[in-house]
Formats: sequence, structure tokens, C-alpha cells
Amino acid sequence: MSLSDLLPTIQALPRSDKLRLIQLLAADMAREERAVADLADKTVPIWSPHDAFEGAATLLRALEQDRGGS
Amino acid sequence: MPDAERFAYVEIDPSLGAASALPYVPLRLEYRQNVVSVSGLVDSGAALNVLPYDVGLQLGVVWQEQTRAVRLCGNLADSEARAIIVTGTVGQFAPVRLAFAWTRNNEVPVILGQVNFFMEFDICFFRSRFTFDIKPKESQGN
Repeated sequence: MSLSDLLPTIQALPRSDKLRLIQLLAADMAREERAVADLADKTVPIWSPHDAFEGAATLLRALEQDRGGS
Repeated sequence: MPDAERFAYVEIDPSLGAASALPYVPLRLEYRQNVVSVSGLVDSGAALNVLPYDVGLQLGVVWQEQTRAVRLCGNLADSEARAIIVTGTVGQFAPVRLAFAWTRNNEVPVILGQVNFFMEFDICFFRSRFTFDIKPKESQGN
């Protein structure tokens, strides 16, 4: 559902509900931005062995040998 | 062909909420009648599967009996690793053989990488919905 689909419904809301909607959206956006800002202050280890192709080849050979032996 | 099973992202740090959400999947590992239940990080950027040292010990694997050395890189480059093969079960799917680089490191999570988790399962991520789907690979002949 797009914003243009929602707009007529939103515009038809009573004033109190519109204010509540603004507060909800503002709180939601603030929470997302706070999470990103908190992350920027942390040291996050990257464990992914993304270049370990030689090791990956070793595992493939081990699987082949295991298949042959079983 | 079995349907895909859907799993939810896990928030590692509640104070960070969605920013810390990662695709961890419950996994049952078996090695010579020893069974351990773990959560594995489904990591498409990892070249291979990685098993922390303690999990290997819980499975009853003996370091000295594993003779195939595996070279790792990045944060794990300084940790010695050996190749081991265990049986892994995801959800209701049939067990598969999974090859792991069993590392001396205990800080690392169980990593499920390209060799050979992604060779056994087809995986689709829906990060915006905090879910991911897993199903066994389709046979080449199908």
C-alpha cells in the first residue's frame, strides 16, 4: 500500500488521531536513528572468513574423501 | 520437494534492536552419536562453515585426530583450524553432511557459509521483514 493510497484515510482522521499518528511516526524514526547512532559507537567484530577460499577447497576435498570412504 | 521453512532474525543486542538483528538458524549437529543443538549464523559472505572449539569438544571430536589443516583469514587468521565433517539437521529437513573449519577460537559464532551450507540449502533473505527462508537444494535432475 502506497502513501497515496493511505492519504485520503489519514486526512479523514479526527484531529486527535492525526496528532497521535505524528507522535507515533516521530517516535519510530527516532528509535531507528538512535539504533544506528548506538551502533556507530560500538566495536563490532566481523568474523566472516570471506576470503578463505583455500580453506573452503580443503573442506570440499574432505567431503569428497569422506564420501569415498563411507 | 519440501517447502521452505521460515525463520526469524535474532536481535543480538536488545538495546540496539533492529540494528543488531542477524539470521541465526537453530541447527542440530551430530558426530558419532553425540548430538549438540546450536544456533548458526547464516552468512552468505563467509567462504566456509566455521565451528567454535567448545562446540567441537561437546560433539566429542578429538583435535589430535583431525589431520586436515584449514587456513582461515580475517579475525580468525590467527586461530588454528582443522576440517571436520558432521551431520547437520535444519528444521524438519533431512540431515546433510556439513564440513566445518573447527577453530581453536571460542569467540566466533557457528558460521554457516558457502562451503558447504549454501551448497546444501537454498536460502532467501527478507531483511526488511526480519525473516529468511531455507529449503534443501533441488537435485540437478529435477
